[in-house]
Amino acid sequence: MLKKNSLYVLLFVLICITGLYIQCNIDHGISPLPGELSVRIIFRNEAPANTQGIYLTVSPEFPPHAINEMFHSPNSLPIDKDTVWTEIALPFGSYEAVALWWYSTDTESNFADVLGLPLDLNNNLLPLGFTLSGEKPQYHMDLYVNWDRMKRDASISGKIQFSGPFPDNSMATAVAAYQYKPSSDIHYLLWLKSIDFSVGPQSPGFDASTLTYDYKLPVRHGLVNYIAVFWLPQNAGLTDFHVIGSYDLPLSINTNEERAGIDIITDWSLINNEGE
Amino acid sequence: MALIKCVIILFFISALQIQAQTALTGSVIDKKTGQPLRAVNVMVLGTTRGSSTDKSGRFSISNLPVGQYALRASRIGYKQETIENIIVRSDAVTVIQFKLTESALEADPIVILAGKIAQRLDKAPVHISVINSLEIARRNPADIKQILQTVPGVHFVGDQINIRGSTGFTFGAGNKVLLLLDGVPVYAADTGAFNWDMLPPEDIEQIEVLKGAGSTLWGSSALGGVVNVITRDPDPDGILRCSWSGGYYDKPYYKDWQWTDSPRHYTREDISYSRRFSRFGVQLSAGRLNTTGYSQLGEALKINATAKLNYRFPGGASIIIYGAFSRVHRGYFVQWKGPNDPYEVDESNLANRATVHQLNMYAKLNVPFSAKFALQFRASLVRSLMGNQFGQGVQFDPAYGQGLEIQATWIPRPAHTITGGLQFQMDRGSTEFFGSHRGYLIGPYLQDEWEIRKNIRLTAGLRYDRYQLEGGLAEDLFSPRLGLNWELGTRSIFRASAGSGFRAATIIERFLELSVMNFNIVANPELRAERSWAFDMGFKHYFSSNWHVDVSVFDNEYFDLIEAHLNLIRGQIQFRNIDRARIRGMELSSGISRDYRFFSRPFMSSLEFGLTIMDHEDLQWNEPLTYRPNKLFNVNTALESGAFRFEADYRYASKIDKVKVYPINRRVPMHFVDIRFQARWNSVTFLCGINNLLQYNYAPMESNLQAMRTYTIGLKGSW
Repeated sequence: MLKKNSLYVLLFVLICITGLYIQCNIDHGISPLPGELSVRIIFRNEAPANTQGIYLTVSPEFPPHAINEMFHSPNSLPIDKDTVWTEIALPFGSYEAVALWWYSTDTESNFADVLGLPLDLNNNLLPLGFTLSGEKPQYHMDLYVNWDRMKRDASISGKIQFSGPFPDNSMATAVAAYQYKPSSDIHYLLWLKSIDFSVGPQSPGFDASTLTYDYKLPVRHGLVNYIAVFWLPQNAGLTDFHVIGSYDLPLSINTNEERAGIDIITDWSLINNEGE
Repeated sequence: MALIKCVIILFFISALQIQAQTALTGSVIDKKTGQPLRAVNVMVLGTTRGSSTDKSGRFSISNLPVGQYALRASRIGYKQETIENIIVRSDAVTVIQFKLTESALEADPIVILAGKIAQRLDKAPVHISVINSLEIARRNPADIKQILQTVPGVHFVGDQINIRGSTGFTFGAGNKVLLLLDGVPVYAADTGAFNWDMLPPEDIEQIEVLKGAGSTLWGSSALGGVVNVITRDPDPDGILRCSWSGGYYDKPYYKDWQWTDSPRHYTREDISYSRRFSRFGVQLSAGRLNTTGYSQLGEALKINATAKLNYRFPGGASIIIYGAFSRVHRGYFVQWKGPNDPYEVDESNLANRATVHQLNMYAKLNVPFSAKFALQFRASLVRSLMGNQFGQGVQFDPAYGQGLEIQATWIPRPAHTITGGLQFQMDRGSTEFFGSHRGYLIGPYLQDEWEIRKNIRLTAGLRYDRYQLEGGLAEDLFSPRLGLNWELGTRSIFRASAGSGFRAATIIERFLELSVMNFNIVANPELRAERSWAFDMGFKHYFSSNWHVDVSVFDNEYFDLIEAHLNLIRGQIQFRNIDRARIRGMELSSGISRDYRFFSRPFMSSLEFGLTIMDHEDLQWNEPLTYRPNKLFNVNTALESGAFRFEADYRYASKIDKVKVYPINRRVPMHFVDIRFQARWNSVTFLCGINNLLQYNYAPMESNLQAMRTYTIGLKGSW
């Protein structure tokens, strides 16, 4: 009898001990990130008046699939200093790009708002990457930033003529200006001067009777060699854009100039043709 | 006004009618000790009648028509007993005695979620889990959430409850589970959020958790499950309950994460008095929780006050008036400062503090016209004031949810129990963030439980709801349900159900416009109600009176599922409908207990576990649904000897497949081990325990760690 009863007590104790043993032999869940990137940011000129904040972002892949697939500093870095030192904790691994992201007080943030993106002179001017490991848990980088890049002191405007109604699976449509005509997917991000995602049938500038949209794109003065209209389907990533229309004559825009009449004709059939 | 007059007339007619009938009395004792048992529920099966025992263990049920009945007695901590073939005569008082045996497991308690009437759990066609007041007291919880997280298939993401993966995480707006307080909906009218601090845990008699759709009887929001919190009734002999509990948060597991030298702790004090004075009963309680929290912005001061009054009229009719007020002043920890500062927030969020008020009130009038027919009228009010937790200078106004319901229970023949009614709900809310809006919902429902044979019950029900948003969209929704409960011999039960559920989008999901942390929340006034079809098939087997196993397979098909959609290109959040989604899986639960002697000392040990395996998919994009684990497992083991009891819990949730905001952050499975010790001395119970014994760091949603190891202590007394 004693043996049988002892068995139950033993079983109970065993369950407890096994539970404890299993727990002791696995990790404690989320742990501190072991790697660190330290960055010295050297600013030129002064921050635009409509600056809400600036954030350091680090992307394991470039281009990232989405803006939330990047590590970023938890709060805005100071915007009133010539030089700022900052660190960001990261897991061990390889990172393909580091950027300083600018947030405006009066427009939606988008991937044209990259204030600084160090490029690798030895690697076709692709973004400069780095690796963190147990042997090398820290990495340092200098980042040179010109505030004037975000001072969009001129504008381009015109009509976008759509060839038909927007597809049902539309997530966003945008008009974007480039300093050079992109020749690869990465260039669509790297050479971007300005982009506006407010194009669409719900926007005030859209005329449903003529299927036209009156756009006005703020840009920084200088050369614009290419303007594109992009369409993104639902669940699209940052590089899943489809060019449905473009304007590829060079424009030289002066400070405070409002260049009007830059009309773009789009064609929805280009969405399907791309996959063929 | 006309409705109120009708109710009063009906009530007096019933009172007169009922006084002309007979009585059944008896007593309940402990089989082992022979001592009378108080607070035992005694039900006359196949009728709407029941009673409970006083401190002498006596009960009395009057005004039963002459006939033959079956009587069942049940009490927490004891095996229930049924006595059949009791003859009630007009010329004599029938006397019955129950002898109940103590049990560590309560296999089949009385529940009301399945059919809106009291019935035994093993007679229900749907899967329901139950937590009784004894289990609640043993856990020494700080709030209702801590009680629910031990139920098989239940998982919390932030403050949002998931029953078999129903809700996921929708930033607090809109729950796909309906929360009821004594059968009355208690969600905030504007956000649909639940206030888990609405009443002290000491006030709770039982919590029932229905898994799967329950809209046929319970209406909107019962899409992925229903939680019913049942409060205690006034005690027949008068009881004063006092409790004090405290907790001390250990230092973070990693030294690098330590963010303060000041100790982090909480204390909770509750007092309640409950007494029945002849026909009048009263239950009053007050409670206070003061915590520093374990993180920045974790501090909170929570105050509760509740009152429950009831009166039993001579004819058997009764009225209950209940009110619960809570005031919570707390900080809002939205996301950590960084992975290496997980208990801190960014300096810009340090002002995220708010005061939230909630008042829940209801009045219920039960009018039993006969043993076979009863009417219940209910009026309810939920007033909630969402605090301004966003640190923005905007005025918040209280939101009001008002409800009216009439319900009839009719037993036309011994084999049929028909439940029908009409429910009306009006929700309104206004702030500068979403404007001023009202929504109305009216829904008639009808359900018949048909006992085809002694061991087979078939349930069929249908509900129609009309949802109308003032000056906006209108929706018509039908919620049918079919259920089967089949007792296979004396030891096995097969159950199957197919039911529909729906939830009309809340005001905040449709109309909120706000900028939070570089994201813009965009309104979607065209948001449609989400709907579901829930299929559940289960088998329960009793190997002995001390060991049962329950296995279920389920398939929940969702249509127009409302989820927070993140537009990562534009940095926008908008609530949108997902055309089709599916959550299916299986659930296995078991409980076993054993009494024995060891070195001449009596011991009682028990082991309970639940395992839920789920597959969830957004069928529109063929990807996992966000914020849902695939596997849940929990085990509770206890050893009791005399006045001492030791318990250990282990809770596991697999790594969440997909999140929305920061998929790049490391995600881990959940592993929590809690231990507790309890010692009783007369009317006083001492409790101590350690939660998260092994210092596991878990974040159910990104950037939000759960508490580290916490030492708890409690002292409870009742006189």
